[in-house]
Amino acid sequence: MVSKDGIFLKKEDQALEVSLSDKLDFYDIVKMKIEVLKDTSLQICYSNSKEIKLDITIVVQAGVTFRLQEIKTAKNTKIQTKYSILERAKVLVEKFYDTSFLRELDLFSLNGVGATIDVRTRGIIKDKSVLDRVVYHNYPRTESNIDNRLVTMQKGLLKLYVTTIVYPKIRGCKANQNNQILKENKENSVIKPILLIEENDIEASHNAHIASIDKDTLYYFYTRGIDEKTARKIYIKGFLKGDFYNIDKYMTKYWR
Amino acid sequence: MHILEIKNLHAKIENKEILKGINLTIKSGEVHVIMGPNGVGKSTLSHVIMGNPNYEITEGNILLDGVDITHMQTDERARRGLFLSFQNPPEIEGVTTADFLKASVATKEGESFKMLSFAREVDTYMKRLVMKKEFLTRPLNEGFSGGEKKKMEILSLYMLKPNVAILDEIDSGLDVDSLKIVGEHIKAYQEEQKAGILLITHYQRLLSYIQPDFVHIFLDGSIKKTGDATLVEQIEQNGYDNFKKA
Repeated sequence: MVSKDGIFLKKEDQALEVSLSDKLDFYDIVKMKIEVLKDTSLQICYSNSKEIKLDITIVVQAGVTFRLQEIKTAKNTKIQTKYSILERAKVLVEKFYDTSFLRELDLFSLNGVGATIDVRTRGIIKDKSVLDRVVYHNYPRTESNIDNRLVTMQKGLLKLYVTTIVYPKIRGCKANQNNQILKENKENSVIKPILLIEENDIEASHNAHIASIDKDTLYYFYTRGIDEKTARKIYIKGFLKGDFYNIDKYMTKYWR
Repeated sequence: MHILEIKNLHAKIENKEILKGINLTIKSGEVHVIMGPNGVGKSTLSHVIMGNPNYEITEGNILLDGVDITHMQTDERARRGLFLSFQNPPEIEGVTTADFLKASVATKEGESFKMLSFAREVDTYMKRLVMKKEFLTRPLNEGFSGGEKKKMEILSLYMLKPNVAILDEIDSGLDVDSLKIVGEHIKAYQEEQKAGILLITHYQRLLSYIQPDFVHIFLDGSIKKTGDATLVEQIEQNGYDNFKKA
């Protein structure tokens, strides 16, 4: 068992190799490297009360299927994660937030033919936050599916940047983005979906949608006797659900 | 005995007057039908009765069992026993039919709500309506056919057991078989619960399954004539022109 700063990893299954740096004095950043050697899954929970700055590198070896679930309830986190996904490796990252101030940068490098990354982000944002995802299709026939569904409440103001990059001669890739913010406040959140594609042979799609709950939809709830508070709760849970493993468990735990 | 009374009801939307003095009384066990051409305010009437905030009531009253509900919130009207089925119910991603129905019934029943009874009742009514079980786990109305959407509305009707149900063009978009099922179940519900029913429709065909007690001809924001089922035959033969002249 390896443990440090609230991160616990099983060593017994031999699927992961983990190394942690000491804190750097000047920037106060913790560096961590996770190497995924076999098919496995990992859950990381950020529930610290103090500010943390993390720099994580995750390398997924060729042919490996890896599922990472991140649960963030920490109040103040800055995290940069660099993924290197090798040939035929399939990675699913599920992120669940119920947090205030959040700064997050994820760099996904698809570094082998047939590498796949699926990212599903669900959460409630209650303060100014910036989420930045960048996907590099460095090899042919790679695939990325980025699905972000977030709700802004209270002082929640979200800047969501999603960039997909496909270089010339990197053929046969699939790059999809679906970015949605449901506003439960008056802050002006922003989505910037960017597709930088320099190759013709590619399937790509993107969607960016920021809206409040439709009044006519709420009215439909009311006609069945459901009050506004309950209607909004049901609608938000439905909006966030999507294809996210066990999300009901976290919704029940954090959003009762 | 339950009673819905509409007295001299005037309503507008964006400064345009749509309802111009409606008087209508619906008692338990009665079936009322409102017929009229497109754009005369039939659906507006149903939404104003239900308290849709898009409309402003400028004059008149709505009473349910003697209580003035004219300015009451929609959800409160529903909990008091009013029901409105939608012509085009909204599609709601992620919210399953089961979750929606459960929330509706739990809100109405409060602390007496029991999950097992709810599940049994849903199962019973879905079998009656020839609905597959998968229906419950699908997102509400998303990808439903016209017939499925209307069956969902009838399922809600059965589950909520309102005293007065307003069914706004429940027959639109239905094929012959679905129309038969929907028509027969409106009748079955009305007979079982002795509910008051207000049907809004363009067509005679639904009325072959449910016999109206009163037919109201609705033109230009008001009821021009009230009569029995023979009025429907007159409309079928001559349209609405004669009523406009009257």
